[in-house]
Amino acid sequence: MDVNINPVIELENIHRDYRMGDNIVKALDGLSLTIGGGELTSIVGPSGSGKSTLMNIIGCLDRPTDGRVRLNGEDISILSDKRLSTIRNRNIGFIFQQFNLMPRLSILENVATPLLYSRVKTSERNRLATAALQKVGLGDRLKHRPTELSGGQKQRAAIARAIVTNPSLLLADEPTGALDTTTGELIMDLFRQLNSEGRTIIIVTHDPEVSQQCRRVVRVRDGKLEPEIVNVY
Amino acid sequence: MFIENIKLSLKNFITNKMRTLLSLLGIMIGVSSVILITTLGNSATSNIKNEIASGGMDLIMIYGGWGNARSQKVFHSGLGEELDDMLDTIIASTPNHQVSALAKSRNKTAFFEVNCISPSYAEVFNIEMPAGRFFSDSDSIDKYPGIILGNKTAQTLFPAGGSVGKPLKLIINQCTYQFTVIGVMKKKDANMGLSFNDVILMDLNYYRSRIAKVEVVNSFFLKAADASVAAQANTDVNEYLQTKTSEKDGFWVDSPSSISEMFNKVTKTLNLVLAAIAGISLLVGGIGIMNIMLVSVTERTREIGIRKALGAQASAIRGQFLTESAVLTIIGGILGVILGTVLGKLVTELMKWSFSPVLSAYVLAIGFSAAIGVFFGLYPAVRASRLDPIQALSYE
Repeated sequence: MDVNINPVIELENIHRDYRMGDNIVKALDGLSLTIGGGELTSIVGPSGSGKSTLMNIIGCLDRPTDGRVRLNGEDISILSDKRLSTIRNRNIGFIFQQFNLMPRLSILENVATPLLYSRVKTSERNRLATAALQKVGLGDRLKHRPTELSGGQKQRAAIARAIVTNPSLLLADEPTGALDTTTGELIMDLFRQLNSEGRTIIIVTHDPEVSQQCRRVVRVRDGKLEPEIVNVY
Repeated sequence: MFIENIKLSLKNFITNKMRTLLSLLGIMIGVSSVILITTLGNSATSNIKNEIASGGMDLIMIYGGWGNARSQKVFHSGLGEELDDMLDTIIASTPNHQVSALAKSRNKTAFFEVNCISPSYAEVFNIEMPAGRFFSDSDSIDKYPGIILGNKTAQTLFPAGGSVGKPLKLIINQCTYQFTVIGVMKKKDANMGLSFNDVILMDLNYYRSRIAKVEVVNSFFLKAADASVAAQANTDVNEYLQTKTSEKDGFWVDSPSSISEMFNKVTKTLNLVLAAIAGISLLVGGIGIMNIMLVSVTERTREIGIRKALGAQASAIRGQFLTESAVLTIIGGILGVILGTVLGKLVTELMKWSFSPVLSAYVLAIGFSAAIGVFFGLYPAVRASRLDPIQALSYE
């Protein structure tokens, strides 16, 4: 599949420092990374390597101490919390290891929640959320509660929620970590399908089975990038 | 978004029914006591006012004659007419001099109170005469030995009926006087402690010329031009009498309107006390709401993190929790109103009062509940909106 030349995300010399008492921990130490549109990338690294911090910065949940972050060409490292909320809402779809569905809401309501924050009308919300759920194969589970679904179904619902606003980037944090191997493979199939439709996907993982299925594997260690692996199929 | 927030709140309450109900107890008790007390206050007031007003709100009573010689002189038999002439707010007056007498009809003897009055008595008290007639100004005061009986007096002295025209002997101060019954008053409820049914009425002029030459009359009854000016008339009379005698306690002016005014004052004070009680209980209730909302925010830290990751702005999170606490207190307010109304209805039923709830108290109670929800929900809501999404997402 062709990779779009226009980068979706550009990180330029990113530093992220945390203060721990008198010490300063450099979670990210001058990291630069560019991810183009339509890429399926995995970010791997041991725990404490800084990959979570990297994911938070890419996901606009955190800002770098120094350096620039561009999303679709726009510098987002200087934006207010309010603008970052809007960017998360419109441009980024999160998928978590623990699914993070809201237990009191139905699957449909869960998937429709991001649309609530972009002030889409109720009827339109329901239409878009239903379409997203049909796409991940949960069209018959709209009224179910998350607790009534299996792990794989929950993750499918979470993926539906991530794609419902049609964001430019899907950001998955260990999406198969809480699933058995077979179900995990089905979820990876879904990611590959979404990627083949042109979606840009970044998967943070330490599972080699998962990273092997991604064309690019970005390796993080001690807050810096190691030479990346490009899988050729 | 607002409607979604309300739905979310209700969902949340349904999952935590017991906790929600317990946290609402403070607000419920506060609101229901406001409703109960205002209802009881209003019902009692209107009940008492009705009783006072049934005899006519235009009545003014003057009692005097206990003062020194100088102020006693003020209470001459013509004082009523004097006030009638001097004050625009008074349209009729009658003196009332009370003596007791032993009455003897042909076959009955009994003690009665004799009210020596003027013919205007009928106008002051709206007396109706189903049998016979009332005194008239044209009656010959020196010779006319007419007498009027109360309804019950007539029944006692003339059990066979037909008392009009019958002779009646009255023994006053060991002297016997011969009278003729000229009329019987219609049965009438007592008013301000004045009874009409078990009395005998005599013309004061006749009493003064034939029985005893009294100089000091102990009471007067006046009729105000209208019930609406009764309070003013009460003041006018008071002021007029003060120009005549400066002696404290030389006289006493009273009227249903002044009593009902006093009642209004008491009610106002009662309302103030009530507002204080309501304020305290609603404050305590509000703190309870703040507490439960803080618990709710902590419990739902992860949910807040998820919502923020999905793009919720701080204002949206704040709005969600503010709506939740306002909906919570409004529910408490509504439950309190229902409880207060039911209790109020029960008590008024028991007391046989008319059930008169105060509408403004209802509006105020619900409005206040909502305001308390917003006020005490603000701090938890702001705390929720300021949570860091990364930390909130990793909260267990």
